[in-house]
Amino acid sequence: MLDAMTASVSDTSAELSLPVIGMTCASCVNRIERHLNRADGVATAHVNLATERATVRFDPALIDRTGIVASIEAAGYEVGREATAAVGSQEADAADEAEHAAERRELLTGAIISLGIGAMMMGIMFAPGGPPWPMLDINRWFLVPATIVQFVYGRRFLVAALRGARHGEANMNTLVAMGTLAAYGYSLVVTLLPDLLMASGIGHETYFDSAAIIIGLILLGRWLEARAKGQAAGAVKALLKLRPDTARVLREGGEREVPIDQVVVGDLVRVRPGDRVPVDGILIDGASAVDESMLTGESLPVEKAVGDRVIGATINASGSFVMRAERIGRDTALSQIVTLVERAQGSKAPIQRVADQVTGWFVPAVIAIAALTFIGWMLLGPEPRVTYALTSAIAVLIIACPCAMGLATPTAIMVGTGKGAESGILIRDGGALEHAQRITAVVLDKTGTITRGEPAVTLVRPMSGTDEADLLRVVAAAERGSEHPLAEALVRHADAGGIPMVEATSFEAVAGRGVRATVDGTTVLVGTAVFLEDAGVDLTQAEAIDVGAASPAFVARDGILIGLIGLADTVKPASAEAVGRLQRAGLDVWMITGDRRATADAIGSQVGIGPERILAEVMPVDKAAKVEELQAEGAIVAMVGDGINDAPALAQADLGISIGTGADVALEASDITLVGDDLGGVPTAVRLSRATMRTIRQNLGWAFGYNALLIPIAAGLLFPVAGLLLNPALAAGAMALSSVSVVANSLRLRTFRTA
Amino acid sequence: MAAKDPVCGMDVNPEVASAQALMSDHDGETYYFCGKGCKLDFDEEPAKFFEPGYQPSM
Repeated sequence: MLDAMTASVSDTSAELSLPVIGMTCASCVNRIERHLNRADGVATAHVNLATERATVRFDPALIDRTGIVASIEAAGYEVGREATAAVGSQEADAADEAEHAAERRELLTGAIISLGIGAMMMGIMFAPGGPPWPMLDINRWFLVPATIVQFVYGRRFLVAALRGARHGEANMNTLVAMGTLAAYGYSLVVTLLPDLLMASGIGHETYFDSAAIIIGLILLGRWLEARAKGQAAGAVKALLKLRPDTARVLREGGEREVPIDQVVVGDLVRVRPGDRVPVDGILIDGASAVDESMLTGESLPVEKAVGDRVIGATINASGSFVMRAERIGRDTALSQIVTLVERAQGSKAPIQRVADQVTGWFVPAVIAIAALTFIGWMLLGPEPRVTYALTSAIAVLIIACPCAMGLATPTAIMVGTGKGAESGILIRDGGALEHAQRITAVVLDKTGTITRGEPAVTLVRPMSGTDEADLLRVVAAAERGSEHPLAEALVRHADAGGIPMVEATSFEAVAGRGVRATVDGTTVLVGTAVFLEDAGVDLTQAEAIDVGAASPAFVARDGILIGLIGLADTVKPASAEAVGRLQRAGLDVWMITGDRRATADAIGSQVGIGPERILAEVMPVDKAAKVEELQAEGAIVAMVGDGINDAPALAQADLGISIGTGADVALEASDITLVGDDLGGVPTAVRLSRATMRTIRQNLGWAFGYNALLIPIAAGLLFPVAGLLLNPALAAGAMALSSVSVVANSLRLRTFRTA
Repeated sequence: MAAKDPVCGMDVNPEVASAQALMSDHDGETYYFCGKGCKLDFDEEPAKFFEPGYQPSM
C-alpha cells in the first residue's frame, strides 16, 4: 500500500524551478521552505540562496505554478520573471539583419537571372553564322523575358530615377533607367511595329540583350557593394546593450527588480556579484571589486568600499553591495560616451559627399551629350537619320552607364577587406581604408593594447630566511580561495613554477586589503602595506625595495614579514616589433594612458616610445581631446585602443583601430578591428589599405578614362573620319568588358602578402 | 553604524534596511533586519529571539 502511494506520487509529480527575489540570509531560505512545505501538494521544496532559486517537487493534481508562487509570496518574497533574452532591441536587430539579408538575396537573384537572360539572348543573336531564326521571331520570343528583366529586376532603377526626377535630380539610377529604357523601348517598337520602321529603313535588330545585361551587371555591382558595406550604425546599439535592463531597488517592502528607467536619483540599489551596475552612484554598504574595463580600459578590477563611486555598466566582480543612485538616464557616464560616439560618427562621411558631387555632375552631362548626339545626327547625319540618331544616343547612354565606376570601389574594397579578414584585420568600410593610407600618426593606448592588460608577477623577493619556493607555496595556498585577479595571478605564477600545492585550513578575504589564511598551522597575511601594518607586522626591511611600476603585495607569516611580491601589467611580445615597423613606415607613434607617468615611461622604454611621445595621466574622457590636439597640429591620426573608454577617441581619430581583446563596442566604433591580440596587425593594415586604395585609384582612372574615350566614339565623333560607330549592343559588350577588367584588377589584390 | 539582525545575526546597515522598511520596534528599541524573512519571523514572535538559548541561523 505504501509502495503504491510512493509510486503514484512519483508518477504524477512534477518539478518546477523558480527565481526568488529578495532573499538575504539563511533565515529567508528557511522561511520560504517552511511555507512551501506547508502547502498542500508540495512534496519537497529546496531553496538555494546562492542561485536564488526555489526548486519544488509537487503533485500537479493538488497544486499548480500559481499556487506555488502564491505560497512564496505569502512568505514575503517575490518570484522573478525568468531571465529572457533582452527584449525588443534584439528582436529589432534581428529584423533589421533579416531585411538586409533579404535585400542582398534579391540583388543577387536579380543579377543572376538578368545576366543569364541577357547572355542567352546575346548568344542567339550573335550565334556563329548569324541568328538561327528570323529576327522578327526572335524579337517576339525575347519580349517576355526582356520585359520581366526591365520592370521586375530593373524596377528599383526606374523607381529611383523617377523619385530623383520629381526632385529635379539626376543620379546613377537616372542613367541606368534612361539607357535601358531607351534600348528596351526602341526594341519594343521594332518588335511590335516592324513594318512601320522598315518603311523608314530601320532593320530588325533589337537591344533587349543590352538592356538585360546592363541591369544584371549593375545589380551585381550593387550586391557586391551591399556585401562590402559595414555596419556603421551598430556601435551605439552595442554600447547601449551594456546597460542592464533592470535594477534591484530597495524600496518599502524589500528588494524589487524594476526596469532601469524607473530608478530615480536617491534610490538604494543592490548589486549582486556578477551583476552589471545599473546606474552611476555611491557605494553605501558592503564592499566589492568592480570590473570597470569596459569604461576605463584598465583590466584590474577596482576595489570599492563605502563612499566610493561606482559606474553604471561596469561589472560587480566579487561581493554584494548597496549603492545610492546619483546619476541616471542621460547623465550616466555610459550615456555620455554614447553621445560622444554619436557626435564623432555623425561628423564624418567625406567620401560619400565627393562621390555624390561627381555623380551630380556626371549624369546630367551624359544626358546632355546623348541629347546633343541625337540632335547632331538628325541635323548633320546621313540617312537613315532616325536610326543613326537613336542608336548613337542609346550607345552614349549605355556606354556611359557607370558600371565600371560603380564596381571600381566596391570590388577593390571587397577584395581588400576580405584579404584583411584572412589575416585578422577587420575593416569596417571604404572610408576606413581611405583614411588608413593617409595617416601620419598612430596613438596607441597602453593597457590592453601595448600591454596584456592583466597582472603578472614581475618581482619575488623572499625575506627573513624564507626562500622563493617557500614564499610562493605559502602565498599560493593563502590566495587559492580568493577570486581576486591579483590573487589569480599569484596562484598562476606559483602553478607555472611547479610549486607544490598546499591547502589553507582557514581563509578570510578582507576587501580591498588582502587575505588572512591558516597555512601549515601558521597565520599567513598577504595584502597591502596598510593591511599588514594594522596587523602589527614590521615592514622596515621592505622599505628600500623599488617595485617600479608594479603593485606590491606584502606577505607575513605569524607576524613576521617573509617577502614582497610585485604584480604588474606586462608588454605583449609583438608590441615592440609593431612599434618599430610603424616608425619605419614613417609614422609618428604615440602612447596614451590614464596611468602614472612613471609606469607609462617604463612601458614606453620597453617598446621604443620616448617620453616626449607619451601622454600619461589622461582621463578616459580626455583621450578624444588629446587626439583632437594632435589633429589640430596637422597630424592625420590613427588611434589604437581596446575598451569602450577608447570609443570616443577611436571615433575622434581619423582612423580608429581596436584590438580584439576589447568589448565589441569598441570594435564597432572603430574603423579597423584587429581580431588578434597583438599590435602586428596595425602596420599590416596600413600597408593593405595603401594597396587597396592604389587599386581603387587605378579602377576609377580606368573607368573614367574609358568613359572619356568611348563616349565621343559612341556619339559618332569618329564616324566622319574613320567611319567608326558603336551600336548599342557593342557598347554594352564594351561596357561589360570594362567592368570585367575593373573586377580583374581588384582581384589582383588577392596576391597581397600580409606577412 | 552597523546594527545586528537579531534573527540571523548578520550585520545590517540601518540606512539600507530603513529604505526597505526592514525594521521593527520592540520594547522601545528599533531593530533592523537583513531581509523580509527575518522581519516577518521577528514580528511573529519577537520574544523568541531574546531567549538566552537562541542561536542566530548565520
